Amino acid sequence: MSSAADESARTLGEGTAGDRDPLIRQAEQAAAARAQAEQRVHAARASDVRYVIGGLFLLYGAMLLVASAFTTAANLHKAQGVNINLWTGLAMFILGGLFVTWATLRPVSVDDVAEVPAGEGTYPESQQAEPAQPRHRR
Amino acid sequence: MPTTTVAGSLLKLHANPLDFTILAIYFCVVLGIGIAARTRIRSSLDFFLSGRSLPAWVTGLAFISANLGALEILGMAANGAQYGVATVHFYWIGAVPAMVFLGLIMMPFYYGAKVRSVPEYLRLRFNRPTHFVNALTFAVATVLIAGVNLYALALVVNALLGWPIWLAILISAVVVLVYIVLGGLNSAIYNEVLQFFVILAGLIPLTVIGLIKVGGWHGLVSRINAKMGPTALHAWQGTGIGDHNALGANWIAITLGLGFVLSFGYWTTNFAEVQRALSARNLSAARRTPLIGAYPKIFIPALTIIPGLVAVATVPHFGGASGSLQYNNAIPLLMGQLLPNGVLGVALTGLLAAFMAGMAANVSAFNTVVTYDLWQDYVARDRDDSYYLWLGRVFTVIGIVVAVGTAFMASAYSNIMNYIQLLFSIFNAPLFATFIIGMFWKRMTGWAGFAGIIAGTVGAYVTHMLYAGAAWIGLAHPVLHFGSAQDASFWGAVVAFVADGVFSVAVTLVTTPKPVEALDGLVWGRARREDPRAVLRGDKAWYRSPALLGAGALVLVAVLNVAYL
Repeated sequence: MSSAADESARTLGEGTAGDRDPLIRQAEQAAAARAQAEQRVHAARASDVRYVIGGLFLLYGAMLLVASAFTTAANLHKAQGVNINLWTGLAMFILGGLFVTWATLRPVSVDDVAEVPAGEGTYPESQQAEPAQPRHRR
Repeated sequence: MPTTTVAGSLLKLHANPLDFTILAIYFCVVLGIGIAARTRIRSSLDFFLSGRSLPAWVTGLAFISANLGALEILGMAANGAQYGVATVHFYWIGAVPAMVFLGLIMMPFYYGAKVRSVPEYLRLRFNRPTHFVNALTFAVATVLIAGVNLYALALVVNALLGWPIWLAILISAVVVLVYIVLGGLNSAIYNEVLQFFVILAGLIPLTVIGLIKVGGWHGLVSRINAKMGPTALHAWQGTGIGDHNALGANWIAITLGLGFVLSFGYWTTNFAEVQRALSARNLSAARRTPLIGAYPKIFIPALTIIPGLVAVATVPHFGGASGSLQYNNAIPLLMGQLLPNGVLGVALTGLLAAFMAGMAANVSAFNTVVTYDLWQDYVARDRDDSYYLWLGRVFTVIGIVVAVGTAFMASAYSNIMNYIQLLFSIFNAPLFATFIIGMFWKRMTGWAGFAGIIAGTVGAYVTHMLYAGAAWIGLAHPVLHFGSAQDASFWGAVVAFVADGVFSVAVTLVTTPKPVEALDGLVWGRARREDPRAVLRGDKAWYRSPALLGAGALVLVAVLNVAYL
């Protein structure tokens, strides 16, 4: 099974130096993988669902808290004497705040994206954990 | 059901501008997610599987949310009102063990084999006819279920807000259409996660106020004891052979039919669910997807069964299969009676969001199977990836249009859940037998897979016809008798499983098996290992261990079953 790194090595090595120092080639591969990972990190940060949930719940929470200040006697009676807008609003506001805090304190990092695109990096169990084949070829 | 089309004044909510603003904000956010996701879609894999990039907590919540459609919520509250605490069987026996099995045992095959859909696994493991039959029946079933969601949504919106049916169908269909066509699975999943929290924000206050109204749990217990009898508050009492219970099913039907065949068939082979796990960013996250979903699943019955029981205890003349006071309306009725404006808007938004999520989950599974499994395999192969991306958007539109059309098929059935269960027992139940035998028995042949699925589907269908469809096939009386429609679908599933198993084994013995090398990554003993470079630093944390998460869920379920014996 050819892995993504082998692929990129082939592309990188093409034309310029088939006989280049393997150490340089390795470094180039690593740099390419890092750039790819950073691109994925950037994309993941831009669309972090935690901000969406957090933002919506902060907004809903605030709306309910404002509404709770104007609770009518009829509404209070309906909710069995509980100012439910206050408590729900408070809970939603706090949850929203937690999501935003989480996303801010622990943004998506390189640790969260794999070096190889997920799903591409599998091979039969019958092979060794470190595929020995490519090394023999070199 | 059709009777609710006449907007009952009992159900009509007194929603005010605040509630509508909350609803409108949600619609805007949903569309915004679709527009934002659009820019990141560069390949068909981005569109259909979210580029296999999502963290486990997102896919895990989406996994549970794809199932937590409004049909499920209203239907389970209805079951809670009708059958009492025994409804927990649909969660603790009928979901959690299968989810744990999917995460621990089956996911390495799905994710490790790099398949893009459940039917694709069948193509690799068995043969093209098996694949074709499964892809086709799945596409038909999902579109039917999307239609059921849409119709139910329209009925509820009509009853709660007084909007005409066609308007409700149009608005929600267009919203779902826009965000899936733009953002694909990614926006479907983000909306599912969002919907999960909004529906909880609506159901928790409803449950709390409901409990206050009946005088707490003890007040509820004494009222339910008076109205429904003491077994209504127990999960397993009255389920002995020959005993009587509200569910109409004995413990064999519950554990074998619901807990084993129906549940495993649904959770482990339904692509609308498995697709969420396939979009996870690596094997570890894929395995944790159903396991993380299992924990909310354990506690959600508190938010559906309790409102159902509160409705029984407090709403005069509540019950029955039709009219404003039917079981299915437990939650909408309580919303109108207990929630003031504001929280009412949140609950309403949660309900509509859940309907749309239920529909979107099916549409996003439908477009994937039709594009990858039907079109790419049987109509136009080896085209440019952008062609399939475009096709996915076209099939999204077609799927939604067909769903709108099929919505009206649901109107013939009074209890929506029974209808859904019936569909699953016919299409899903036999599948699990094929998967389980095929995964653990290398010798099982391609044609055995085909024969098994056909035999199982026919078995479930015949069981249904001999029970409920006697008049259709010209019989004066049903040949088979069951305790209830639920009981019938449990046993229909068992019949499907047995028929599938028998034919799978029999046909295997007279046909030639595939060479073992062709089954790499697909069968037990030849699983693929993950490339170490796909493993993330955080995956090794003890609390992310799939075995621990799975065992924890099972222990919790066992303890709860004993507590509510």
